[in-house]
Amino acid sequence: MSLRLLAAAGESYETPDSGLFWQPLFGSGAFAVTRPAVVILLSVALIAWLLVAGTKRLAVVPGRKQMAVEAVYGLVRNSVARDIIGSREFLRYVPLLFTLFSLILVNNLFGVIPPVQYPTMSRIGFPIALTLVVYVIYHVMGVRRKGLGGYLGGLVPSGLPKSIVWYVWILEFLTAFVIQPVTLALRLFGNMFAGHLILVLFITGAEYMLLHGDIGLKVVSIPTFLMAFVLTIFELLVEFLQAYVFTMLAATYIASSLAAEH
Amino acid sequence: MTDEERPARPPEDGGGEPPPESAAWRVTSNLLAGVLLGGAVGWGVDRLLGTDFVVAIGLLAGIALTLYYVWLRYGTH
Amino acid sequence: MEGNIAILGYGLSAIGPGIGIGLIFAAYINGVARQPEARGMLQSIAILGFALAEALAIFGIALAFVFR
Repeated sequence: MSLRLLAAAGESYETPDSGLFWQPLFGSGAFAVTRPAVVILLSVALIAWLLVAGTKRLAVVPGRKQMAVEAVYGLVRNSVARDIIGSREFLRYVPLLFTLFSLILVNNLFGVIPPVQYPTMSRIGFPIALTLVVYVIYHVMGVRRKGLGGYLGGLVPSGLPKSIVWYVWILEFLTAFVIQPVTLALRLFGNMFAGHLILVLFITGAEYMLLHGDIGLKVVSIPTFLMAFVLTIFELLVEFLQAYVFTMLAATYIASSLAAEH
Repeated sequence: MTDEERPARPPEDGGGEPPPESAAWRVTSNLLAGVLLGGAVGWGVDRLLGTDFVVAIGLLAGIALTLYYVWLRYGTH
Repeated sequence: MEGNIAILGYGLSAIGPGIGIGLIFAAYINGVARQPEARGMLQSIAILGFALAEALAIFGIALAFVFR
C-alpha cells in the first residue's frame, strides 16, 4: 500500500538492493580498491593503536584503557578459549582467537559508526578469507595430532551399530569439510549483509517519506525513524554477538578436531 | 567475568572435550549434511532414471538416518 | 519485485521451529540454573528436542529448493 502511495507522490523510491554493497573507490573490475578494503585497513590500524595504547603502561591497578583491553582479552581467553578448548592446550590458540574476535568486532561495529558505516563482512570475500584460516588450522592440527588415518577414522564416534557406520562417516566427513566452514562464513556474511540492508531501507525510506511524501507520509515517517533507531541498537547487539559466535565456533571446531574421541 | 567468579573445570576433563552445549552447533551441521546428502543422492537417482519423486524419498531417508544417529550419539547416555 | 514464492514459504516454515528451539533452550537454561548437577542429563534431552525441531526447519529449506 505504501508503495502505491509513494508512486502517487511523484518520484519513485528506489529500494536498496545488493548493488548497494559494491562501492569501488578507485580502479575498476576485480582489482578495484573498494570501500570495505579501505575499512578493513582502517580497522587494523585502529585495533593496533587501541591495543598498544591500552597496554603501554601496564599497572597492577589498571587504568581505564588497560581495563577495557583486559576485559576483551579476558572474555576471549577465559570464556571462549579455556572453556572450549580445555585448560591444557588452549594457550597456543588464544592469539588466533583474539585476533579473529577483535578484527570481526571492530569491522562489524564499523557498520553503524557514523563516518565509516560499512560492515566489511557484508562482502562475502572477507568472511571466506577468515574461515579459510580457521579451516586450515583445525584440519592441520587434527591431522598433526592423530595422523591422517587417525583423523579421518576418528570422525565416527565409537559404539555405533555396524550397519550405519559407513553413513555416519560420510555424514561426519561432509559436516567437517563442507557444512561447518560454509555455515561459518555464511552466518557472519548473512547477518552483516541483511542487517545493513535493513538499516539502509528504514533510514532512506523514512527520509524519502519525510522529504517527498504528502502530509500523511510525513507523519508515518516519524515512527519509521524511531524504528530505524531501535534497529540500530539491535544491530549493535547482533554485531557483537556475531563476532563472539564466530570466535566461539572457531574454538569449537579446533577443540573437536583435537578431541581424543568424539 | 574474572577467574574467581567462574567455577574452574577440573583439570582431568580439560583435555579438549568441548562443553556440552556446543553439541547443538554440531547437530545443526549434521542435520544440514544429512539433508544435503539424502537430497543429492535422490537427485542423482532422479537424473539417472528420469523420475521426479526419488529426491523426496532421499530427503526423508537422509533426515531419518541423521536423526537416528543424533539419537544414538547424544540421547542414549 | 522478483524472486521465488518457495523462499517465502521457507520463511513461514521457519517460524515454528524458531519458537520451538527458543522454548527448548529456555527450559534447558531454567533447569540447569535450578539444578546445575542435572546438566548432563538435561543436555541430552535438550539436544534431542533441538534436533527434532531443527530438522523441521532444515526440511523446510530443502523442500523450498526442491519444489520450486
